[in-house]
Amino acid sequence: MYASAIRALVGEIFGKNRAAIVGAAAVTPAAWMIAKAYLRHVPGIEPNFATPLGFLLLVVIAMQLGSVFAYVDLTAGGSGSGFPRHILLLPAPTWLLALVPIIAGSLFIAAFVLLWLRFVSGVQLDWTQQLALTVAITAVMCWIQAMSWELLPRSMRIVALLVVVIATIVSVISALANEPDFLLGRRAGQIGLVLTSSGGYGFAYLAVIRARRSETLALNASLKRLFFSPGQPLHAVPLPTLSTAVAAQNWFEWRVYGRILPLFMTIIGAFPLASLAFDGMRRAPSIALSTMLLLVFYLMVSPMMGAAYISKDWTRRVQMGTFAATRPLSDSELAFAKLRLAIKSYALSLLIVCAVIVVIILASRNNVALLALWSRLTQRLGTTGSYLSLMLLFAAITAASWAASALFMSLQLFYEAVDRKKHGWKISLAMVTLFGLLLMLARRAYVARDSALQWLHAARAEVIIPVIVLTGIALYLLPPFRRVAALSTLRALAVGFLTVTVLGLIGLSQLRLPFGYRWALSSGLVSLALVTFMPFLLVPILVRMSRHR
Amino acid sequence: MNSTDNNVVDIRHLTRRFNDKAALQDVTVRIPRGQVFGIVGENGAGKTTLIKHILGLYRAQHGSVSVFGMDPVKHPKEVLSRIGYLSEQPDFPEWMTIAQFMNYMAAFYPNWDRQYAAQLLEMASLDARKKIRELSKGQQARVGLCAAQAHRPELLVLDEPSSGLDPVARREILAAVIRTVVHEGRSVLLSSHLLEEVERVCDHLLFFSNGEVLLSDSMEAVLDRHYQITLRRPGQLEWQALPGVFNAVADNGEWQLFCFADIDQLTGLLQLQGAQILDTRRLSLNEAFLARSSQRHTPGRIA
Amino acid sequence: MNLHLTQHSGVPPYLQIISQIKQLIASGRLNVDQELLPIRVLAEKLLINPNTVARAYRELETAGWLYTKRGAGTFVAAGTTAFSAETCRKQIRERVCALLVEAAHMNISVAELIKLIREMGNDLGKGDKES
Repeated sequence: MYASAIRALVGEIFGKNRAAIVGAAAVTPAAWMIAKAYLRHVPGIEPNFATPLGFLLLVVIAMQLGSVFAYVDLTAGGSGSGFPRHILLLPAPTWLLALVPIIAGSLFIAAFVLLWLRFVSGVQLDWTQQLALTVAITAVMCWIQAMSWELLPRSMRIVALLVVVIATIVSVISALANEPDFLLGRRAGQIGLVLTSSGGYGFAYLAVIRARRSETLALNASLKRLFFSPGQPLHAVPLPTLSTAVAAQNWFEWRVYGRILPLFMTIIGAFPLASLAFDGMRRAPSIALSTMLLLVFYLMVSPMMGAAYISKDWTRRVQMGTFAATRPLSDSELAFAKLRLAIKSYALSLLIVCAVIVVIILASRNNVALLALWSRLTQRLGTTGSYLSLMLLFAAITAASWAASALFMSLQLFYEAVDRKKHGWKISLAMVTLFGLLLMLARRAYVARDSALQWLHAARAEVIIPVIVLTGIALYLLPPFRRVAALSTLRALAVGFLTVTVLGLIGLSQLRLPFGYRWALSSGLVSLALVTFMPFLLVPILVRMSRHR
Repeated sequence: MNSTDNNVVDIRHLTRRFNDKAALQDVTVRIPRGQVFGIVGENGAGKTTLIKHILGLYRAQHGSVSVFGMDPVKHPKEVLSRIGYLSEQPDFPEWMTIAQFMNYMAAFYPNWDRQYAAQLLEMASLDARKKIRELSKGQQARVGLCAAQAHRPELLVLDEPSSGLDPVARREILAAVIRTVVHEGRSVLLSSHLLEEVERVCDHLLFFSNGEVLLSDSMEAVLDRHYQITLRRPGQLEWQALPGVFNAVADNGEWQLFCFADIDQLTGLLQLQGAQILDTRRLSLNEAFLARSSQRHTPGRIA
Repeated sequence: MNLHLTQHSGVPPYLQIISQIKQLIASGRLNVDQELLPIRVLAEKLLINPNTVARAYRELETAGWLYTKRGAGTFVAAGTTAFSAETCRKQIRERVCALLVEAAHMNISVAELIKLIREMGNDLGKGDKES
């Protein structure tokens, strides 16, 4: 009866987004599989060593596909979605119009996910688990579809979606876990799945109805009133005193970009905290999962952050629009405003992450596995040494995240500034080569990991090589830097970095480690410090390139 | 360095290529102080590219650009703090309220006058409490215009400001231009394809086509000396050899010449050649522009 | 001082201003020694370039319609009626010339034309007497 409408819809969906679908569903897995196949032939590697990474990649691709099938351009800053309005005129009932993209998308994505799990990650699921997974994907699809119709105020949309996705993932894991009370517990997990999917479909249906009737859904307006209180007299909102251009730009950067990362980390951190209420949390694997989630996300999100910080507004891909480029600021002021923003954002996020981890640890004081781990650590390094090493670890992770973010920011700036038609292929080639080299290096290191520890035990001179290379790069960047900014700013920063590095080295020397390890770790610390310092040279140079084409 | 120079903008032999397309070809433009300088050209002629060079968004591949006597790429802060700019499609931060926006902008310009800014907003009937994304396109343009004027810039740069705007907004743009130029030493650069506006407010006109300068002259001259001559002459007419004639159309033994010249001199010359002058008519700016855009010949200079 | 500009009329703005000011003076709406709007003010009012206004004022001053007092402004000059007669005569001459050319094209002789003018003049005169 509705065959023609269904055919039209399905044809449109797959036809319009061919490129994205092929790219996400075919190219990325192929690349990943090639990388894994290469590494698998290395003797001694566990078969699923890259599983967590693989899962994360899977989630990202699934979300990308989800947005494709829901016609949502999550990166579009404008109002409304890419849903072709003419489809609303099809002589088909609303429930069908809401359902077809969802079903088409979820079936495609479910098939994709299951195939990935089977062939790439080597995970075998029984039919109940496959069903649960498909339902979970459908739930998320419903929500993405619903989000596209302006049900919620725009600023809440991505947050709401993130919450829903994580809730769904947690429900799925709980429902599919081997233990009956893992995380939320099986019953709660199943209920969660049903709720998220039916709720999502309900919203999607409401949204399509609203679009067809061109009604404003009261939900949007009432939520706005609830959270954003525009009814309040706005003279109550004081204007910030911006006395200098730099102060104004700092205010701007923070308002636009500053709260993204802390917000993400709060949401991610909220889940382990929330599940503390459930018994499943107190068991060691759950803690590990939560903490890993927190820290891995921290690292993984950094490149995305770097790109976001430099985009015109964080929902778009356009870099440095005309407005930003015509600010009466010097290139170095513009660049340092960005860097300052990234630092403040990461500092705040670090506080949040530390707070969450402290709470988790305190709540799981009686956790047997955790205590065992801690006692092993204190045996090796002593109590102060253990705390010290944990602090150093966190600092190192934060520094690495920030550096990753800033370096990715630089890459985006560079990519934007060069003439892509002429040099684009060269850059892609360089990136692929770099990735290949890193992979080779990681493989070498992993293969030799047992012998590596012994190798490091004897204080090797080769460990200095990264330091020398990085120092060389820094010196090479100095002349172009001087053309953009005064060396005095750099001097102040360099002194700061030097102080922190020296403190770190002193801290390292306090650890009761054999000299060889300390030597290697020190070299690593200095390298990390240099890598973290590098963006301060790169970003001003690249901002200049990007601003004046 | 900059106070003695009489030109606000001095561009010499500027050339810019995008891949293989030449967006600007050997362009030389001098914008003197205290004038309204109009750039007229069809879409894609290179007007925005030229303006971006003035703002320092593009580096000069060949030639030189000098604004207030400085290179805008080397001294972005010094140059941009004296320019008020309204782009063709303004990309203001939409999340800000108008009040926040004006407060933010104020910090960048040392000459910003808060009272004057408030006055301008009131004249434009804008509610400072509204968010920019809630405004219509015309209102957003008006906000940009207020922000561009509030610091009394030495150079007001308007890039196709009226495109897609309602008549009220367009009127305000003209008002802003006049308000700026009545004060000694302040200049306006207006790029537009709305010729009626350009005709009213500009002192000097630059015709731009395909990245080349077709004509650069005072508005008086442009309006006074563009003529269309209808004549009858048996046989062929070597119109390219005639001084000041840049375009010609033949129609059944009658010729229509488009020229930029001393009309009496030219008609005299034509009559000597045996042509019967049927009509001479001054061209409106619109017609002059259309005739120039399909210009097929660069005329020799009139003595 | 109520002036307006017509777009698309083919007449340059400064000429429009000149003729309108002349009209105002001739009709008596601007009196002798009355001050005209300053250049800036008129420019902002009409939304045209002040140099255009300046040019109009300048040409009117050269032609003797206006005079300027240093630091005080521009004023209407006396004795313009004599000049206006001259200009009026010139305008009529031009119109007659155009009329003659057109009549020649249409093969209407000068004698016919004069007859036509006389007829119409009589009608107008009758109309005047009646009103």
